[in-house]
Amino acid sequence: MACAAPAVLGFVFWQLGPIVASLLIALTDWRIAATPNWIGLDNFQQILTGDRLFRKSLGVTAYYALGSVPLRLLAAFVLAVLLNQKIRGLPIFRTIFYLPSIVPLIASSVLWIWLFNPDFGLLNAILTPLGVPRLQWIYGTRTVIPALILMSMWDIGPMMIIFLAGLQGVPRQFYEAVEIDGGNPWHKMRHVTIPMVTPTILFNLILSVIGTMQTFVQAYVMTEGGPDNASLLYVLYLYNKAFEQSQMGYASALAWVLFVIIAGLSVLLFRSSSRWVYYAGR
Amino acid sequence: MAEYRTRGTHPLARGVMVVVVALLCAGAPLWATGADEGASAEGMQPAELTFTFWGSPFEREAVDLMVAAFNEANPNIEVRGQHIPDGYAEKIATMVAGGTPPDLGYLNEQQAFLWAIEGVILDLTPHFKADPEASNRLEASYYNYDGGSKTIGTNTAAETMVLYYNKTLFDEAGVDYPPSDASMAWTWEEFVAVAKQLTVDRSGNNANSDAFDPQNIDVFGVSFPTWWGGYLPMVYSNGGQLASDDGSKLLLNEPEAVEALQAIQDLVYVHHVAPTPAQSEALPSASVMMQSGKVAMAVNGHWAILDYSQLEFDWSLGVLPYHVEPTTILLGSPTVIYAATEHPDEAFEFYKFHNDPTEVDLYAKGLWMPLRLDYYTDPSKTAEWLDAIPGVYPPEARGVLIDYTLNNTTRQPPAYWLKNANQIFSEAIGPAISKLWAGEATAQEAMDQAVRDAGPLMQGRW
Repeated sequence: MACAAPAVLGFVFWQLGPIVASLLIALTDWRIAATPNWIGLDNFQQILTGDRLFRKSLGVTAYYALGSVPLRLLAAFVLAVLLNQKIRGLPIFRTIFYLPSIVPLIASSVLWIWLFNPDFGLLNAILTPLGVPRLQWIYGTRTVIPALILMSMWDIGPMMIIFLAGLQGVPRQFYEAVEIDGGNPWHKMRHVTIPMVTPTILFNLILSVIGTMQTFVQAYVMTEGGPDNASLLYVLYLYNKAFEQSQMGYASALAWVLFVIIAGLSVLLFRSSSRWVYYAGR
Repeated sequence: MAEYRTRGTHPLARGVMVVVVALLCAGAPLWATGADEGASAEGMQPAELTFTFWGSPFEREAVDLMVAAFNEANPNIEVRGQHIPDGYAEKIATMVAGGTPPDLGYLNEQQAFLWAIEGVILDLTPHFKADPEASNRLEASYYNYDGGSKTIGTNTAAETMVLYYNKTLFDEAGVDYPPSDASMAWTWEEFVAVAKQLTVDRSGNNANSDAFDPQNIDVFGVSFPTWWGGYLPMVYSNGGQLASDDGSKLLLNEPEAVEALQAIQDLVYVHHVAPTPAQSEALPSASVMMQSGKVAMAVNGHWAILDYSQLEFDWSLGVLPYHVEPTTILLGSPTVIYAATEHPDEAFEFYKFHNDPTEVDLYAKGLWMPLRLDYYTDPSKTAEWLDAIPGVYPPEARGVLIDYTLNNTTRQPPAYWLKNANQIFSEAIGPAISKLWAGEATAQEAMDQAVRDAGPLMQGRW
């Protein structure tokens, strides 16, 4: 018990305290300098009924998440399957694919700004000679979210490692059984691998949804939500309210709305899991 | 610098901000609260003042020297300078929220007004009234509120927008330099014509040539900033306004404003004499571009003289082009005294001292412009400022910085008087302007959107 005390105390003071405080602040019009006034649910009412940018940022975030989450899952899974083969130099490949994940997000954001530059960037330098029209990437309202989704494929390393662990837990005899029944590699994938790793998929899916809904750094560093709010991710909007406009009460309310949305999504995913997740033990 | 001026900050700087805010949220005390080390041996307790400021290491050095000089000259006052290079607004807000505000310091305009209304900031009207010499400052540098009856004070320093140019590129093209006298200023059409002559593609054709290839520009005629310091003087110069004087309505979609904004967009997409925002972001700063001969003219604040004077090339500055009336803007951020200070009079002493050009060399070095009128009207004072360090200010600077500042800055930027300016810029004007500069909308379309979005945000004037 005594050994856990620092962690428990740390949680109570540095996490639980602020969490409870933010719920109370969300019910006020606190703007830092002034004495906060208790305004009940006014902030929430304004968010849900009168805030154009709340809807905009939610839409942008949903668009980003719907693009990023499935693609990242797919890419991480495919990579994990490939890296689960018996080939020469496997540790090197695993290292290479994991490496981008240890680059700090700010550094990789700056790197991607260069890659995305329409005039001097590497991406257009490769694509334009192939006949692709010169894309504006993060500088165009229609291309900025697809560009950020593409960028999100860059750090799938941790997800890939988790898939790899899941894949290595699949018992060999199941594959042998498929072989004896005359199945091909596709059958192994469809009837053994995928069902056996569904718990891993669920885990990665939920973590990925939670993480993606809270994406901030890319938009803050690369686009500042622009052009024309086309990349105004939810947390960036929350940040603007809190630290650019000092509307701490309103920003806290925004945070709680996001919490409810993420909690709701997580519950939905867990509920759905009984239909498609296979636990070997049961 | 104002919060909504961040478009100009480098992505890396914003990166540093992320780290700082993260640390701040983690509860790390980034500012050290110094011990009471100043108690003097004579038994007289000196009045202790904390002064917070931002700025580059260069600015910090100059301010630290000024603080030391003040403490030397005023044994009864002990000022402790506290340099906060990043996340300034957040940190000051935290100090105020924690009940331990500094005694005085730099502050961004919006925060200053909000806090002045709340009584967190001292109204300096009585102090200025009692001190005619101190109050003899540029009219446009005061931040007044409550219908003009109260004042937060003035800018830390004056700043104006000017036009820099590379003399060598002008000489090679055989074009006259931009005028340094507002009465001779170029009209917009003259400006565009010069910019076209100076814009050259990689095959050596200028923008007037039929063979000119806008996809492969080697030298740009002009670099035009994307934030309001660039477009606001042009809007004002065309008789346009950003918002109505009572602050109830945005007026950027009126014909005068739209015409001026469209003209700037046309520099990029019609005349091909200025880089797109994406190109600008990938290119070095305008001063470095100009040094390497890749841009001939650049609109920027006078503060860039500091940078230009340290680059080895033949540059100078002139007045901005105009539409109807030659116009620039006076801008900056205020220094404020907090109402909670125990020593308001001592704080005002330091207030007068901290931007006195005889005490701070940032004026002589090109970062700041004086606030006191005598530096603009008394030639010997002017010389003290502009000639203190030979080689910093080019000869043309006198015309551009003296008369132009005195006579052509009549309309204050919105930061001085418009309520809720941060939100209006961040949520209505900024997005529309970014669309405009990206070439995705005409000025009329973009500004109609801005005015529509700003509607519910307009709250009048301070």
